[in-house]
Amino acid sequence: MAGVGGEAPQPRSHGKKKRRKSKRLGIRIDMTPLVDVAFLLLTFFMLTTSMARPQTMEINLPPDENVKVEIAESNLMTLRVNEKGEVFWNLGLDAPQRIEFDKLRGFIRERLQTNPRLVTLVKIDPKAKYEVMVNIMDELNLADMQRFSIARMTEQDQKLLANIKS
Amino acid sequence: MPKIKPKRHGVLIDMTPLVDVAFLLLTFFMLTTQFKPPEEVQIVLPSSHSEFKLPESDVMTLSISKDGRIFLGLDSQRLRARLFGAENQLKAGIEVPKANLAEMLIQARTMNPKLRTVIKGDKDADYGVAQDVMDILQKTKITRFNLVTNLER
Repeated sequence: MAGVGGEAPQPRSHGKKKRRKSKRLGIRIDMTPLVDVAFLLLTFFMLTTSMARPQTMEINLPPDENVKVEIAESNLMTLRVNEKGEVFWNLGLDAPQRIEFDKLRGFIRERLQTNPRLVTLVKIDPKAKYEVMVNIMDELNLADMQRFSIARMTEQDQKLLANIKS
Repeated sequence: MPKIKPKRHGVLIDMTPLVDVAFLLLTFFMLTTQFKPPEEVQIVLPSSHSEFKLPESDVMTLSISKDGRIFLGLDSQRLRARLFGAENQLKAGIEVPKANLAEMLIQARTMNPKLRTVIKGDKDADYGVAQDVMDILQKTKITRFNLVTNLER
């Protein structure tokens, strides 16, 4: 680049004057500041970009809330969560029993194996944390429980749960 | 030998390829970056194992803050201007009282029928608020929606 034409490297080796001359022939721009700025902007945009989009969980509600679905008592499992986030389960109209959240996934799998037509109804206390609902639904999904629905917790349910503790 | 030696004296690296690459990346990041308007409230997402991705566009976000307030957000600025008024178009979302939510949802859906509804709840929010929001969604015939979560682990 620097040496243009035929006079190339040889004259350079002699004396400073001649070297300068050959330098003038090839124009060099110092790109360092340009690169500095480019990388500065590059790092800025790299750090501000959020590549990962958040995950989502899909829910389908029945289109009409007045549609009644009849389920055999023996196929219905109810999961109730009280305001402290404690989970209780029962089959049909049995009395609810406490279950640790960590054991829930294995438990539901087991239940599904014994009865593949099991449907879960989830009732969560309105004072419970939103996180509880997400966690329960996540566990149900992980346990391959395809059919579950969410229902409002009635006062009756709350009383039922309160009675267990006492 | 004497020919080569003086050449080594001043080391000049040709930076052109470096600059090329730098600018290529720079343009890439500049074009992919979307500047989000600042969030109205900070929301700590719950985590789940679900791996559905949030849709890229036509998203209507219903944020539920820790103290139970509901915010309606839209990703397109034009739609925000039409729905929230021009003075609010730069905000990510506006607070909507529960009573007006259904009406707002219907309006938004008529303006853009492709809108997908997403609930973004704080993990410490009361479940009751989320339940109310879901009831409203069901009443406005939005029966398919997503919950935004973080990926666990």
